[in-house]
Amino acid sequence: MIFVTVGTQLPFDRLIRLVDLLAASHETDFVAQIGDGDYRPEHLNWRKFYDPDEIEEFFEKADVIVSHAGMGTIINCIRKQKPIIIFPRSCSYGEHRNDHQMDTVDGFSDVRGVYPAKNDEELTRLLLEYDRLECPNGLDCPERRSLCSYLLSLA
Amino acid sequence: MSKKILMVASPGGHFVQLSLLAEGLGCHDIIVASTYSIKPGFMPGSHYENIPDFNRDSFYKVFPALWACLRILRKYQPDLVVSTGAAPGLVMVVAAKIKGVRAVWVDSLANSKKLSLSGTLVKRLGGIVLSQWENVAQEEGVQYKGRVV
Repeated sequence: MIFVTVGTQLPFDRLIRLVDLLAASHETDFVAQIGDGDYRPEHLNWRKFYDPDEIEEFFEKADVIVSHAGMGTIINCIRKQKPIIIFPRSCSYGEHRNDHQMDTVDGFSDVRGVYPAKNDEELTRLLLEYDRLECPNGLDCPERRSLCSYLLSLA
Repeated sequence: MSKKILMVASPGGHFVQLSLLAEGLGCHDIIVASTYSIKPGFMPGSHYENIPDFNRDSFYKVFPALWACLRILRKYQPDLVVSTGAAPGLVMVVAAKIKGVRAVWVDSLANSKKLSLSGTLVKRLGGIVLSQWENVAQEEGVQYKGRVV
């Protein structure tokens, strides 16, 4: 199962529309949280919003998560070691007031299990290869231990 | 010996990064300050203080924020201030400088090409600035000591 989320703050019809198109001929099931979007998917199970417990269950059951570039969702996927494809909102499409989601994508550009998709082609390719995506290593990493060690040395 | 560490960040991605640092700081006494009205559940820490919100469009509101930061520093007398940005963190670092408390600015993971404006300001003020990207640290003359993820 592939779980798609646009977050709770804003709609993201461009992402939902694209995933819906791909889901039509995809072998696996899709569940999507579409927020206050106007587009109504035809090939996904969807709701505007799910309860936190339901979301938690989808995260547990999903093989892959597709998400807007919300840092909370990304961190959660790393914590749960689920592959995540991140699709940033774009200022040029009027989806956000600036391109900080693009910056967030750049921030995770070399983290295992986190796959940036900056356009339709990249998202299509990643969804076709979904069963070959790697899992994140989890949140504990030597880089964080090293940074925390340094901070403690200053205290 | 347990240290008192004051951790400051604005809501959203900056705060998530702060929580990842807090998790890694172990059992020291952590005080959290932000513009949330209450401390989010996922954030460690034994105390929480609110800083009045402001941004570039309402810059005059920086004064109540600065006043709040000075008050928080006076109340807790932390051994160290850590901020992952953005504007409220900058004000706390400035307040820490005024009060002679050591402060560290950890530039956001999202700044993979260059230092943020706030990070550059802290550097100009002579504060300790860390980038979470080695190439950025090298180019901007700041330090790389690791990253949150």
